[in-house]
Amino acid sequence: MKENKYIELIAQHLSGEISESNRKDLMEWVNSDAENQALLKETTELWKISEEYDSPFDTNVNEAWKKVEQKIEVTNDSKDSSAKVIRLSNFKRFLQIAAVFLLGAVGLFFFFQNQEPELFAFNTDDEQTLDFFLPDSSRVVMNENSHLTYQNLDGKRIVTLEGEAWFDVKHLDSISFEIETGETKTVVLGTAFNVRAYPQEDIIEVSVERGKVAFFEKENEENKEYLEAGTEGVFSKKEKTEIKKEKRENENAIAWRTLTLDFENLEMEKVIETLEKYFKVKIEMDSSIRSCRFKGTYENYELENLLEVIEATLDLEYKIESEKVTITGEGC
Amino acid sequence: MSKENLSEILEKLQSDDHAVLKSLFQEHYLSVCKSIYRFVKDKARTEDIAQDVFIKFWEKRKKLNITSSVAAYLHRMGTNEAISYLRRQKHFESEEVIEYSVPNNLVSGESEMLQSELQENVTDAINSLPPKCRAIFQLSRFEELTYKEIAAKLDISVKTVENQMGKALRVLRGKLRGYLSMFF
Repeated sequence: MKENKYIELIAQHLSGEISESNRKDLMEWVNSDAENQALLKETTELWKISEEYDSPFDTNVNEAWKKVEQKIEVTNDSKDSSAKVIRLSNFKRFLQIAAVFLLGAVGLFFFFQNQEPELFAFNTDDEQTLDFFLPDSSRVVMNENSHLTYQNLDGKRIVTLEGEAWFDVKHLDSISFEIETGETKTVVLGTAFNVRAYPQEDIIEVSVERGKVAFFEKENEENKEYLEAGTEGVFSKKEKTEIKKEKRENENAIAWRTLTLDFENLEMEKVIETLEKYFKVKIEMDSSIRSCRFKGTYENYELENLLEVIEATLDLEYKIESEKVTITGEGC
Repeated sequence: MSKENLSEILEKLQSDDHAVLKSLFQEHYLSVCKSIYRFVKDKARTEDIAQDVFIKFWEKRKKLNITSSVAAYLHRMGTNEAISYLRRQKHFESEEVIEYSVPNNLVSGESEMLQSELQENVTDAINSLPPKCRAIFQLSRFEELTYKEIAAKLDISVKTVENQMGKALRVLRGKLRGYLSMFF
């Protein structure tokens, strides 16, 4: 079609590519017809407004830097052929390095082509968290009293976990990332989530922030749920229940990591559950209060400060006696 | 960036000074991401590519040959990586126009058009171009490359660049007509 040819010429004209002879041709065509003139006007306008094209992009530069820094250290190290590999047997050395981890996120690495799969192990004590990168550059933040191992086996990345950890898994095509927690297994199809599996607690909980994971019972792989962002899966070890998938109402699964509690008009019953977990206390309250709702974001709050806020907002009273909190009031 | 500053940076890089890389990263990472994202349209991939750019930049720190500025150099690396990523995509050759659900709230003369609405519609329209066509249009319009340079970058003929540019204008005109008429 003739018009197509001239639109091409207009494009050349707009991008400054047009030759003198083509320019003449174009101008003749434009001047021969009002419609052609309109076309030139429209496309010129179009060229101008396309400037508005925007790719909104926002990111956390510091997090990105951590990843890059780690890879740079890796490549430097590999040139010195002094891989930082921790063997399970070398426990003392591990403890030393663990101390370094506490200062910040430090990377470890290892290459998948290593013939003998190395086993990496990490531990945390009371009131200790550990923020680090696995050899595949997935990020892990471990909560206190947890034990984690990592191994690259049969083209899979296998993690075992006792306790609680948050993962941001590096996507590697066709190399799955699996987390075994005693009775359950979580297979990662992408990205960030939290796993809570303390041996002394009956419930194993997986809470997904980004991406998608498959969460299932190890003994019975039929008992499986795919968890997407914003959902969580719950499994009871004692009752071996069907894995329950719930929409996450409570955004505090990773409060231990962010030190931020966030309540979106949540029922007090759930608020109390969260506080009990987070502050490791026992809280009792009048049943009349259960259905009251509470909201707000609390960063770095101590238990008492938060209780004061609750007391003031809901017109309640609280008492703390030897690790036990009692809340009383008339309800809402 | 002044020449003096540039040679200082290069010198520090050559003596393995991490701190320089860190400050370059902090200064330019986001904008490198933005120019990659224009092509790649996938946030996670964009960040992977952008991080690789800085890693490669660091790896070749001993043999860098920068004449313009570090910022321009990093951006060019970013665009090149983005394009080679696109070319590896199977659907890159596809000619299909992608249908985005563009909010059809083109308003008649009396109400004032919001800048952001225009921006949104322009962005959607450009994003709806077939992948190769969009890359060509963007390289011409935003990276200000000549047809010849675009052809070389994408390993296609100048003729293809010409007709893809024409196609881009036709598709965009169709999508944004409602806005265009408002200017007359």
